Amino acid sequence: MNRVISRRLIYLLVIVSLSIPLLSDFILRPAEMKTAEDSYSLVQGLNQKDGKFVLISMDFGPSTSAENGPQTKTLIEHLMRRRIPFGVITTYPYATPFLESYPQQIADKLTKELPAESWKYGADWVNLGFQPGGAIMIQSIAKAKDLHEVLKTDGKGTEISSIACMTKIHSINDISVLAQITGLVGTFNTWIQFFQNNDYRPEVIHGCTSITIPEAYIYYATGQIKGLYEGVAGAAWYDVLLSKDYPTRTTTDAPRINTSLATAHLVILGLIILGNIRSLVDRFWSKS
Amino acid sequence: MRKLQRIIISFFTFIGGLYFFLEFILPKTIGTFEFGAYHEQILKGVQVIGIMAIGLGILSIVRVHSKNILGQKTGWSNSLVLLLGFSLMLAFQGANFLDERTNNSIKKKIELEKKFLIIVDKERESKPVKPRLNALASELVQLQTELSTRLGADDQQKNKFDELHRDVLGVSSDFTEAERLALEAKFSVISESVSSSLDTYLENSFSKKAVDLFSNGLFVPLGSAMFALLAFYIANAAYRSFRVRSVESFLLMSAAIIVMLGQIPQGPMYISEDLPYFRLWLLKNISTPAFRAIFFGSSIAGLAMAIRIWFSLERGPLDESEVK
Repeated sequence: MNRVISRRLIYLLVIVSLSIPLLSDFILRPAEMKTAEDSYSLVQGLNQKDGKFVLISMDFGPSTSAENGPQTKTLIEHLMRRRIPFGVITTYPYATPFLESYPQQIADKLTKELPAESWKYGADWVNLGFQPGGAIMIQSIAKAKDLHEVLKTDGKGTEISSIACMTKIHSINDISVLAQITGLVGTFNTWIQFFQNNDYRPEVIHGCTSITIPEAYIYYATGQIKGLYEGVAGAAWYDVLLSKDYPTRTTTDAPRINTSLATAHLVILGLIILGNIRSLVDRFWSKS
Repeated sequence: MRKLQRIIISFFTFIGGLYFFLEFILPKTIGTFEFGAYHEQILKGVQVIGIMAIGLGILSIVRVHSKNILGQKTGWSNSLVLLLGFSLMLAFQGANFLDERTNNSIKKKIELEKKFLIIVDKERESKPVKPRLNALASELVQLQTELSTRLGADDQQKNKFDELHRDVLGVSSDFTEAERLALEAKFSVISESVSSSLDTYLENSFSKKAVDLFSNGLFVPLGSAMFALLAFYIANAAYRSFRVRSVESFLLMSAAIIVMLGQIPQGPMYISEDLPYFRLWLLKNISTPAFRAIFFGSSIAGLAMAIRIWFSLERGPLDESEVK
């Protein structure tokens, strides 16, 4: 039996199951995710005129961008459509290419869809760049009396005080929501522990990879997280919710990646069942 | 000497730990005394020390891998690739950083010149307007020269600057509000046009394209590909190792299948529409309490470790055994 399903065949099955949905238009409707619906409702409920903004901490690198990328893109799209200003920041150096490319990609996509409107860097979003220092840096932002003094410049070296969407943002009290998206262990705990002052803590949305979902539920169950993206499946359901409210939009890559992963999941399930059948047959033959 | 060094390190570790511990637990003010009055400055200091560690890390990488290459030790070619990649990225990123800094300095100059108009207007009683505006006009000429050196000849931009230059020089000695507002508007137009030209210049610069190639063209896809290999190993391991040999393993496998199918499209499609809700129930009521218990355990262990580091009970880099 071991020879029947060799390692090469398993690898081939995985590559075929992953590739077909990615290369074709075969997309399945994602499973419903209550946690993603909570994230959506939170963003939908934000007030555009209260002068506050959303801080997105993109603490992920290329290794988990297949899951964290679609989460970030759907969130950014929702914020841009609702004209809620936001800032992207990271405590992870490998995330810096995404800080620049993701918001710009979404802005280009929206401008193509709605040529009469425009989304501009500085007015709609700001890239606060990579901030070294981990927990210490998070505390610095949370306890800063003036964020302009702590951060000084954006990721391109422009003074924060001259960036339009940052003129009214001076302390943590001006941040309505923190969206922390990561595939790393321990980063989210640090944000949730230190991103608060004595009187205030922003609402929190968390985007995690599938493998860290059980850990994220600890905070979701207690209400410390108001909304959660459970891997790419969460992003795919968020994408469905966006399409309900904005029917003319084109979808992000979330449903496609989700379909691809789903077929791969089925292949893995099939392999587990086959492996157990093999084990039973082996045991039967050894007894007889 | 080494003993003294150890004492100094232990002392500062203890003081640092004590400060952060007290800062976290004490109220903001005790009477009139504010314990965390200089907290922001202290945090900045810690960040600076962290950044110095990055410098030390770079030095260490260069030293270790240079030794490998010079001594032609096993795997020296890997060291060569590492140092080559590191140097190229440092050079391109550095050039890009300098480009960005020069662009920002030009943009800032225009903004400052625009603000200068308001200052001239405010201080008109104490300082005469005309000489100050003449100085502003000569600054504009300098700025225009700096821009054309950087971006090359651009007649349209030059005409705009010439026009503004004439307007600044032609302002009456009264410097009316209408004149100031008209000049401010022209400064805004020029500022926008210069910003756009500088951004386009940066986008098309060699350094920016090289950085994009190295990060988006090499680093991101290579990083993703490395992690993607995991899928193949997981599939192989699942087939070979996931065996139902006991009640516990049967329960574990059942839970895994429900959670897996509840998250992907096929489960609700072919099995039950309620599968995602059952998955949610499992995660909330079974997995979370267990995970929380594990988390408490590891946190207590972490706390014990932190206390050991705080009191310098852990083995440090200057300990005899480490030095040997």
